[in-house]
Amino acid sequence: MLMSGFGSALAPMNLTMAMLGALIGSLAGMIPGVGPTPAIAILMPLTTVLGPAQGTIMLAGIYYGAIYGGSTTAILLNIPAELQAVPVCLDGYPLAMKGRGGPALGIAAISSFVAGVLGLIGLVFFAPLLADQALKFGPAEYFSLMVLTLTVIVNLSGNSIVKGLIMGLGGYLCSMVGLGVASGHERFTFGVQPLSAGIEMVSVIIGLFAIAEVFHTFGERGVGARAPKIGSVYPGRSDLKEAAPAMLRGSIVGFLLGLLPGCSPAVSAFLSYDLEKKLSRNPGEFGQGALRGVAAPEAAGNSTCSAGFIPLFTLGIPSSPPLAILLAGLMIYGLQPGPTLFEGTGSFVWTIIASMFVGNVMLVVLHLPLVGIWVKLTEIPLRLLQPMILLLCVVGAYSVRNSMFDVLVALVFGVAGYFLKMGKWPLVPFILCFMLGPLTERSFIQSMSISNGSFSIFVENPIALTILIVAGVLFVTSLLLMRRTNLRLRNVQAAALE
Amino acid sequence: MPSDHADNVSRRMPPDRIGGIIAMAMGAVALSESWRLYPLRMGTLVGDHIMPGAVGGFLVLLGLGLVIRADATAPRLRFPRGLAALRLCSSFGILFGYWYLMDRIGYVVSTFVVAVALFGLMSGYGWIKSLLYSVVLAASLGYLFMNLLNIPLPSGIISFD
Repeated sequence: MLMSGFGSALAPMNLTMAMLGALIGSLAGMIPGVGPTPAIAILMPLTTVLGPAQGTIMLAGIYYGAIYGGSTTAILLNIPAELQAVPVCLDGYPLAMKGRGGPALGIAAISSFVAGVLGLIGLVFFAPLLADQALKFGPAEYFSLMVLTLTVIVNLSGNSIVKGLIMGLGGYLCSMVGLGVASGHERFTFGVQPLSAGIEMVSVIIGLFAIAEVFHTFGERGVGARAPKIGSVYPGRSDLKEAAPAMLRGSIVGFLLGLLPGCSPAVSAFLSYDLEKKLSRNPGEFGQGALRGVAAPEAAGNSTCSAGFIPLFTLGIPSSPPLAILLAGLMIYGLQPGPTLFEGTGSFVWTIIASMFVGNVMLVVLHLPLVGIWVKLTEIPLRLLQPMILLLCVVGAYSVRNSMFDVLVALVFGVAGYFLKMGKWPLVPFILCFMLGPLTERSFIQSMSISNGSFSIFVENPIALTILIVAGVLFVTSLLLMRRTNLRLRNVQAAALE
Repeated sequence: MPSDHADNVSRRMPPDRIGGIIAMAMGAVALSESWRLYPLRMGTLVGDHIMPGAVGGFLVLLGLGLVIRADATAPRLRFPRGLAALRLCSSFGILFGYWYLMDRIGYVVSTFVVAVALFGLMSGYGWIKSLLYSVVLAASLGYLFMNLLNIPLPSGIISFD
């Protein structure tokens, strides 16, 4: 199946989409204020006119391209565009200041490639196994899975779990606008006729993640810093020998953590950095320009990203904000991520997986020679990009259903998203629950119908019970891991201020 | 002074408390909708009333928790002030104007006008640059959507169908 996936992925159009997505993602990953989530959100309406495979290939390309791109500004400018790039700054920037920015960039790119490929190999073996088990799922199991997905909210809530839960509930609420799943009666329409068709997901995503982000960065000039001169970006043999063990360890750590629904790349990047420091014979060199300090977190973050596709494809659980948007993209194409994705549309899944292999190769070949151009592109003033992004968002929202009401929805959510971001309310729990709301409700109602209203169905069913227990354990583990990561972040910020 | 008033307001009403109140209001709306749908149920826990009821209940509880535990000494939110605030609000207004105009006067004219306004007001470019960038942007977006992606956009005063 993988070989036929390669055959399909190497078709000219699919190859073009993979390259386009990877390059756009690289650029998006380098520009703070853009990043992979807004980039996927902005481009999603455009991909709806492509076929499901081409659109998903492009969106996935943006995701892993952004992982490559994020380390560039972290190393050269000490500006992490994404949270998982913060550990890379710790040693990457000191290396750049010592004139070793080129090898640092090279090691980061090679680490990303190695980790990406290892992660994808793991995806090839683990995903079908998990999908086979998941075929036994009934309504009770699906509902338990939705409860498990709520543990993801812990990692996506930032500093306040309560705010994350409120946002998640708000997402569920908005998903109920329209016709009820049980009886078909209108809910929450309040006499507004266009609302009877429900709220369009793309409009919500554009509003919350693109329009709100642009206004949130209103008045900012952009990167505003100049990168130091880069020499050769190809690391020497001794550099590779030094970094290789860290790359492999980071890849394994990142992959295992990425299997846990809800584990974000930032958590694995920090954990991997800490592990590398503990294992080092000379821990004092970390923070002063150790290549292993770049290799390990970069590999871990990338590996977690690849592994994150496993719970996404097999269980329909996204483990990071870009994957949550990608999940929305799959649903827009009429695909239901979860157990039936491999069963019913296996060729599609293997094409995506194969294109990710191809995309990783393309990135490591294209990224390094073009790094000078990438850095120049980050100097594009934000004030030039902002009106372009806003108009693209409006026209994009219109293009989904040729509906001005969808544009209004996008603008309203843009305003709401602006205030929510200012108040530090997490947005991803909202969109996650908005997407999963109908499935959660349907599963619950079906379970209650089967059991005549008894909750014992979730306890008597072994798979459902196991999932609920795992959800409880993951909830506590995620809380502890996030606290640890936030503490590390605060320490890093305090050290930077000194 | 306006800034002192804003300080006093935020000391009396921390931002999280406002969020908690909004959450409780949303929860109340959800509960009332659940009550409206209850007679249409197929069972006590089977029907379109159950999810609004559960979500509404939790929203009220969590909102209340946030209202009670909101930190009155938390730093106030830093919204733009003065000219920056005016530019921000105007930019939002321009986008809503774009929504109103696009269907009435068509994509080409509305996009050009709105782009000039945004490049001038939001980005701070002069007239010549704003006009130039707007022509390029409107043409590029139109070409991308109508020609490359075959997505029709509203025609109006001027159209290139």
